[in-house]
Amino acid sequence: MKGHNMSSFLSRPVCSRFCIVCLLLFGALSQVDSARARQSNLGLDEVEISSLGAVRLSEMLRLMPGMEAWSNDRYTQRLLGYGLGGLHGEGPSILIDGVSYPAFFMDRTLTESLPVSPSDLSSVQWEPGRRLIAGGRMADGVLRLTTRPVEGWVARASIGLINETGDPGPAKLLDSTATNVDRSGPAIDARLAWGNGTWTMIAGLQTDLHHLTDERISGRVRRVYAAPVQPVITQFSPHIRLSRRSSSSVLDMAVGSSRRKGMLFYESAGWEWPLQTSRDWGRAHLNHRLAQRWQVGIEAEGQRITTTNRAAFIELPSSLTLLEVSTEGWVRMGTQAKSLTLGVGYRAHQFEQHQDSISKNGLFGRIEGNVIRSSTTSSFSVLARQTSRVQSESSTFDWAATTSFSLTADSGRKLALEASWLSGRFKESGAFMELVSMGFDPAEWISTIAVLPPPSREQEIGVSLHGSLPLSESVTAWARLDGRWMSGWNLIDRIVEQPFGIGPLLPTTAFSTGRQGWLFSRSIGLDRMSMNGPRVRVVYQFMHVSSMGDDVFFRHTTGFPRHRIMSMISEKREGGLSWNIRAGLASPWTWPEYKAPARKDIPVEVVLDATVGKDLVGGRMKTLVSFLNLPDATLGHHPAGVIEQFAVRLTLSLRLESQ
Amino acid sequence: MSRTHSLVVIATVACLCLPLLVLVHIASAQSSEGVDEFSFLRASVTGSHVFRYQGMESWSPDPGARLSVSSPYGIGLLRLDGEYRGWQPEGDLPSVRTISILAGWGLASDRDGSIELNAGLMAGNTFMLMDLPKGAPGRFESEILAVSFVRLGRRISSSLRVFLELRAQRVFTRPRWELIDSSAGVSIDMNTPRWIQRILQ
Repeated sequence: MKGHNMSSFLSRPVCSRFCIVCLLLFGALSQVDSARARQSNLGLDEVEISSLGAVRLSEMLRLMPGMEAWSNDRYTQRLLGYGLGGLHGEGPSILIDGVSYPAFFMDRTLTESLPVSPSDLSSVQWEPGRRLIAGGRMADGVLRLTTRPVEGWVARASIGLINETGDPGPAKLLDSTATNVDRSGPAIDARLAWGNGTWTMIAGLQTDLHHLTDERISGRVRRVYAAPVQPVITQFSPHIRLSRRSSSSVLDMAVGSSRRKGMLFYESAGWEWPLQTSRDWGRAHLNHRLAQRWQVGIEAEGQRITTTNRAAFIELPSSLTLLEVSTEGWVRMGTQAKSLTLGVGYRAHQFEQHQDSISKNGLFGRIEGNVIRSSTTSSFSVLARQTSRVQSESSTFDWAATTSFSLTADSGRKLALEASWLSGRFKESGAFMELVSMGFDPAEWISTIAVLPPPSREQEIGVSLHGSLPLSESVTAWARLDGRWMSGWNLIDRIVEQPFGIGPLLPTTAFSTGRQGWLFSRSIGLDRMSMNGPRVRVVYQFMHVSSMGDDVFFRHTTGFPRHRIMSMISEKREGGLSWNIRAGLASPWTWPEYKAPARKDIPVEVVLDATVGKDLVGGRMKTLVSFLNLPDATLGHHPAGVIEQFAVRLTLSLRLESQ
Repeated sequence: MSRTHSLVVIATVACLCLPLLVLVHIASAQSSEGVDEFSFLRASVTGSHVFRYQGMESWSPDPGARLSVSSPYGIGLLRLDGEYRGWQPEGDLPSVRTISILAGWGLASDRDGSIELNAGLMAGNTFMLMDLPKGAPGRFESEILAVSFVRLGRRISSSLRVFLELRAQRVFTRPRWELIDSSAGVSIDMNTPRWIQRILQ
């Protein structure tokens, strides 16, 4: 265990709790503006996004400064954010134009089922820390995606192809077992949109194709089918969106569907389940200003995720359906400088497995306050939820509070302090542990399990301190300190002692309750965000775990590189030439859940991507070439994950506009 | 130095020296002002000789033929290459023919002077045709390749130059296929036809 100098402080938890309570009270009394108080220096602007050449959201988030986003199978994304939720944490929630779009299932964020692609975006803002978002949810950080406004008719499409290197070439004549490597794409997004400044209508379609010939994955898939099957993943995701924005009201509605055929790698099981995953979703947001000081709003969201299996050689999990809906009404009093929001809503979840239906539902209420003064902004939010589990006839009361305070000097220097306190269960419904707590039978997904002990009550206290210092008109230095104490955590407890996917012998898994420990993240960064010349971002993050002797907590939280350096430079020059370089360095880290013969220790990882692009035909067409993993070293984040090699991506975009 | 240490060095240089690259980039942008981009084409046809290679030891290289066209862009030359080479097998293996198409850019010391040093990078694709019956599996393969080059040129008339060139080439097959070759020849400069210049610009 790595105690790391915190034992004296940790021996006085009452003191730390008292400090947090004081902080909350201070924030509540001083009041606040969340938008200003919570601005972070982490994100991407339009030039940075367009110079990346990414067609998928997952490719954009890869190596985004400050963000830890990766996949162990290339097509299901883990967004770990700052790692403050541990290795199996949910990561940030995704907000599109301020509206949340939950897409979390089996501990993965289904990024490619969201109704945006990088070509739609004008900015990305990544805000670590706890955030209260619509639907009575407490997110572990948010990714704010802002789309480009639409004027007149717009028809556009992007297509991306990734070719990973490592085909055997003439060596195939020497070794007949040598196979060609992954091909990814075409990944396509197409949009037909119309807007007049008030109304916007968008019809979109995203499709994707992966040929997964990576030897680790194809080997396991061969064992699933007991035949030489090449795993091919396809995705088809249409959506439509309608919005109306005026000075007094905002209406934003979207519906969509996403079908993915192929595999789902579930880490705890160590298998690629050949699944078809369907996600149907809808989202509506309405707010209207009734008078100078009164505003009302309605939020509604719903999604249904269904998995079905194809026949295989081994016995696969049965079909699973997760349905969740929520609705909320709110009223806001006050002005932009000082406001108080009250909201009440209802959430319902239901999942079906083995033709059984299990559900939970409940009411929630929230209070949020903001005050902006000339140099200070402050905010607070409180969320309370009463959840009833219908089958077990039990109910729980959960609550959470956040507060923030920021001080901005005329010189642009800024200091912001945030705190959060959660008591109860705030995990997304699609989180594996949350499904288990609802009554989901995990035996067929993760082999034998011990009897699930009654879940303990989870407590979490978090504090963040963020300061930024302008060094010149375009250069800003910043520093950030995040700390989070967790207690009563319910965690998967297992040791993997055999290679993944060997026969039907999967890791024996138990569940463990009442785990506790600290996580710290310290980061510094430098941004150069000039309108002319290259944009530069450099971030260094140091993660620190203190488990206080709790072995399960330690194993859950140490699969995150202790030191990370990320940097990005991008520029768009006159004439339409753009370029981008992204680099990342992660110190060695370990997966303590794994023992030999599985690969447990991950060496230093270096990732370097470079992209060059050019506008053509008066800007109506753009072509970009990206070189991914330029050092040409094999990368493997996960003991059972894919091995990445040097790859080349070709992206072509077309855009036609008529005013 | 171990591979891990090498990677650490690469990453440190990449992450911490990026601001330096920015300064170089800005300086180069300023110094390129006033250059008439794509004003001429420099073409050469030459033979090349591979004198060191690894990753394809069961074949030995024949002399190759290369067509190269370059044109001024920024403070260097944009370049397009095509190359053909045959590979003779050992034992019963089929012979292999490769055609490589490459594009890239190189920094040029003094494009109008009597002696010019041109060094840069190119990337492209190598198409490999194995001498197997038509329709046989594995008859045709292709893979990405990258090339770094250094060319030393000497003006011999207003439009002709002699040059000597060294290239290091990596084809990203598994195992990686690396070779170093040399070539020497004469290049000719000609004014870029207006329509080609317009397309390039």
